[in-house]
Amino acid sequence: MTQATVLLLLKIFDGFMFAVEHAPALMAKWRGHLALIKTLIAENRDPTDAEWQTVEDTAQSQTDALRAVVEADAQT
Amino acid sequence: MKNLVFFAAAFLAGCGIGLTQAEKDALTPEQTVFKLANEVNIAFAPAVAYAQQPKCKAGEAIRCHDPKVVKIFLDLREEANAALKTARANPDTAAVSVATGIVRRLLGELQSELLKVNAQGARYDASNRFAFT
Repeated sequence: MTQATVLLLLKIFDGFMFAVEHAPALMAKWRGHLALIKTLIAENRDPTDAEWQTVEDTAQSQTDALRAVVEADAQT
Repeated sequence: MKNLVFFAAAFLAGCGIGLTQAEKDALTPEQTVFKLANEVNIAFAPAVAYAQQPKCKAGEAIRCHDPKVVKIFLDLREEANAALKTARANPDTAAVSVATGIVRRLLGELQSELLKVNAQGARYDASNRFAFT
């Protein structure tokens, strides 16, 4: 087995591990999102301030995380 | 495999899959903005995970991020934030329709960038294989 083959196998394994790590969390988020929207429709109400806050906190933390990486990359 | 996860998340969010047409029709403007905001968060979760990998260097880490791609992700995220903020401040049908259009376009661009990430990964593999031979 050549080094190139090992690297390719590692890449495949790495991709598989990434999927294993992230797919369940993404699907759980998606199911949670759908359940919440269906609840809002069923209860015929708009989202509460607390529900909005959760969504906005996530948006802010994602933006901050991306900005931190961009700033760190700019310095290296 | 990694790209499939990226793409599936962006695709699901981009298409708004999961609600029946009757449920979609029943959404109020504020519920629609809330749904969009949630979908954007889900679509960007893998992008953040990609960004948090080490910076790519030739011949080194297998898992890595391209700084140019992360900058694009940040620009898309900020544009989505602005569109959603405007729609939330004025959740009438017209404003929500504009925000929906903007967000769908941004998620399309996100999908496009994720596909490029996959192509870059393939080239990165190729350059590594070349380096080892």
